Amino acid sequence: MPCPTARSPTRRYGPISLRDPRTYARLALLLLLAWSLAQWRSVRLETDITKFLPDGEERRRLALSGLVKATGFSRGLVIDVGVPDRLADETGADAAAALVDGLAADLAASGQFKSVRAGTESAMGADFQRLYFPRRLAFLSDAPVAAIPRIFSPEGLAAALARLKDALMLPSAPLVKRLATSDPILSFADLLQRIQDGAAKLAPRQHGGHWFSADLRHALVLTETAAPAFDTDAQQAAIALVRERFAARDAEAGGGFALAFTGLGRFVVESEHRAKADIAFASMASTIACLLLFLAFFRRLRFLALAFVPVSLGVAVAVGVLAGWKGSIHGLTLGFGGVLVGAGIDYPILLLNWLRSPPDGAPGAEARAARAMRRNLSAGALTSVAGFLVLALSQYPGIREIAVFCMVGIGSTFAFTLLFLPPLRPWLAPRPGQPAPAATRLPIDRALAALARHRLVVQAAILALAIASAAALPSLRLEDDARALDAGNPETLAEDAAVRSHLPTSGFPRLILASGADLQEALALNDAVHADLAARKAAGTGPDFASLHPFLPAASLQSLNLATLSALPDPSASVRDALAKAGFKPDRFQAFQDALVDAREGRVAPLLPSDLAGTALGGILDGFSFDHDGRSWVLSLAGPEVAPGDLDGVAHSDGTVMVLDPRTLVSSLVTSSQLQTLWLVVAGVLANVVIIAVIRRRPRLAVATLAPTLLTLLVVTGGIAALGVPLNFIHLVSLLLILCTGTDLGMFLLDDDAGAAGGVGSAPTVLLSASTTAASFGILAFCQTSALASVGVTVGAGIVILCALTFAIRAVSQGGRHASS
Amino acid sequence: MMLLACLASPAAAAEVPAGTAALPPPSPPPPPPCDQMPGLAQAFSGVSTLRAAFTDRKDIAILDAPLVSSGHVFYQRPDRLHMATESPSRQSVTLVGTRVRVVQEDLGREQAMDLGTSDVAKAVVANILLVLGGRIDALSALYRCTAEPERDAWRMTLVPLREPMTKVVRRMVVLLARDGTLREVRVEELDGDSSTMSFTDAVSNRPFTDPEVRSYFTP
Repeated sequence: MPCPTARSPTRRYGPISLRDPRTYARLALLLLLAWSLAQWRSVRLETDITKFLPDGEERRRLALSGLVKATGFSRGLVIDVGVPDRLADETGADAAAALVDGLAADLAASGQFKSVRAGTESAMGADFQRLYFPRRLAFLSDAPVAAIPRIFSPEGLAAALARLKDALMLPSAPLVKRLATSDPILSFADLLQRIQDGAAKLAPRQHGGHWFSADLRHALVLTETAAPAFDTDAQQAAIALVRERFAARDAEAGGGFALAFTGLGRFVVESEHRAKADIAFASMASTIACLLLFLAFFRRLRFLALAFVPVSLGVAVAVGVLAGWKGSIHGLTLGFGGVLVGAGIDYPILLLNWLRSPPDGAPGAEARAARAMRRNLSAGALTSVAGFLVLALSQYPGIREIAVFCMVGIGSTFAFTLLFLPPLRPWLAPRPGQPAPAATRLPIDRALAALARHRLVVQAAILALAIASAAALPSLRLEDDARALDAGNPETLAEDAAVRSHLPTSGFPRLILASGADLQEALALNDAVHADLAARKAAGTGPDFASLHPFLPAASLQSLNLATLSALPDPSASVRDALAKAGFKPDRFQAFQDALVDAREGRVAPLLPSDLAGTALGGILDGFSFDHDGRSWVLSLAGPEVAPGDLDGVAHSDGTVMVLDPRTLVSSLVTSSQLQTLWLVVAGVLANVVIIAVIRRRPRLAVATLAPTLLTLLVVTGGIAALGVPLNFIHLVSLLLILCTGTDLGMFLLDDDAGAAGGVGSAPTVLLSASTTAASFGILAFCQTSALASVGVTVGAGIVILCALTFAIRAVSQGGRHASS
Repeated sequence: MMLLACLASPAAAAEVPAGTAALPPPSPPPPPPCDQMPGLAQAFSGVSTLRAAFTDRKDIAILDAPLVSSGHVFYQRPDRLHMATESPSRQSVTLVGTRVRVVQEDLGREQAMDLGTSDVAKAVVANILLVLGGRIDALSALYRCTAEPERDAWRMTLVPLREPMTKVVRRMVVLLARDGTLREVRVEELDGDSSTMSFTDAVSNRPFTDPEVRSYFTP
């Protein structure tokens, strides 16, 4: 039995010395840790999957689509109260309206909602009348220069008065008659009809002043929460209040009413719950799995604690660096971080195993093993960091975040391992007569020897696997559905779809955004967009649409109407003549003549956005316009395609007018940069190949080190293709994780020096290392977040395959050497 | 929806020329109340469907001469109405519940609306439906309803009791045949204008076929 002090640990890892550069490195690392922990206080958890999507124009478009408020879903919660079957027709609607009134009052009184609206505000009609009727002549036409002279021509006036007569024959005559003397050309009725056909068509069906679905079976309430949608605590409280108050009001109404609601806030709350649950589950389960494996292999808890400390500190530093860099960290990144324990624990496991193994008494063997250990640990860390460094060039901000997290986490774990564990050697080294670690007694060598005896069979099996995997590759396809990355709760999604279907906005899925340096410039551009859409619709080549234009054209267009009216020769006489010819009494229409004089003499001001502020109509403007990036934006909504490319040419190349389809935008973003990520992964693989080739120097050894990893990547990719699972960028990151783990395994398992040095490269230790990694990642397969589950399945299965291939290749390689020797 | 809401808003009412609303109060209607007239309620409420030709004469102060139109009316209890004007111009009004569609064929115009936001518009339409449906019970709650017998008919006089109809209508006079068929509805407005709709060729209680329902009552 060699003397345990023969390695003279105090010589290499003695008391702290200011001349030892490692002292300063340790100090720097501890300072980094302290700084990182200080950053934790301000870190914010993100759950929005769109934060993972690529930067660039389309991401900007997605941000713009998220600001659209006309649909109500991004502002707060849309509440849907279903009428019970026992209450039919209007009786049921009346009962639902009464319930909704109570519910709305409860919510409004809570202070948690900025607005709660169950129907059109009662003041809307009066506000329309007050604001628009005096300005009706400023809204005469979208093309006033041509239209106004025509309207006031004898033929035009005769046609308008014929229309008035027709209107007076309808049952609504008592209502029409009220405005006839001040508006015989029906300009106000036309304006209101245009508004009705424009923005107002997005209003739900009315019953008793309440909003309802078209079939009158669902009462609707649109709310805006006081807190932003991403304030999850406030959103959670608002949702709880809705449920509680509905239950109370439902009981009062006799029960049986059904509550459904949706909105961005609900999805944010559920996503965060899912992310937090996944993070907690992944961290806890991966830690427990590592504990159990560690105990099974080494039967010593103190080693387990030592193995975990560097990894935990590495993760702490990674979170701190991200917090300091961005102020936030995504749930998916933390999910990765939770299992980084499994990947990073390789370093302390391998180092601890070496530190506590009995030294080899052979001359030079100890130094050779120490060099091999440092070289292999460094190579493992270097290849991992290199792989993630390449990935940091990705266009996906989320992938970059994961790459930085993994680089910092793995680098820190490596540094903590190498700087702080070796000085503990005197405490770890085996005492005289102490039995070898349980792990070293595993019969792996016998299994490897058995494989070596059948190396031809093993080689054939590996070759067959490789061919089968390669054959499956042509069927590989990229993921194009964003929901695959973060599929929500199916019940919530179904509820969301049901509520949306009860709103008229469901018929207008596409967005058209016009922007300008200020709101008037945007409104002017929106006027042009409206003209374009109206022409397409009239020609049957464009979709139905809803626009703000009839409700609020640019002030310049209104002024042009008034100026054109002023430029006409005095129309009073022709109006009188036309009235008389049509059978009306001209003297009764003095109010109209006065209105014409006011308009022609500049006493009518264009309607401005500021005029709408504080009125019952302010919400319409608010829903169709917003400010972003220092510009003003005005929204139009377009219906489904009537023909492919029916909106081609509506968008402007300078970006001032955009056409967006939020449903397909996220998915197109998901797929747009996946090819680039694939190439980055290939670049990461090549970087690892170069590093391993440089470190190994001997081509045969380099090939043996890399072969299991490259084969595993081929098998996993082929397996994904064969199973018909679309490849997404999360899979690609997973491939890189397999690459990093694979090169580590290859370095240690296929290293003669390390193996000879007493266990660093021994099979049981490598098996433990691979098992902890596979267990940690495999646990992710049970996460609720689809993206994390993808990683879990891919990496978990990949590591198992990797481990099997690495051992098989070691067996084949050793068998080959034995045979040749 | 918004159109009618605005037309019927208080501000719009303020546009009514001054002086046109001042008319002498109606003379007190003679008793008895409608619900005490023997046979009236039974005959009136027995109408489930109605097909009839109509002639409508509107006397409106801003016009030199009355407006006369004619066409056909189709009614299905409780809340479906289709009025097709054929002369002097072609236009139709379809009402289902609170949803209204107006088609002016000669002008190539069509508009749909919901009466939900306008109390006045809804009240006007509801009253037409109550009359056509023979809802004496509901009419008696909204109007002071009196009836007097004529040779082969009843004359019902309805004076509105509550807003918003009190702001628009002075009284309605309904002439009803003994078999419950509508003969005439006259509406006198507060501003002195009036409308008289006479029905001929009336066919009551013949069910509508499915194609007819689709044709007449699709809002």
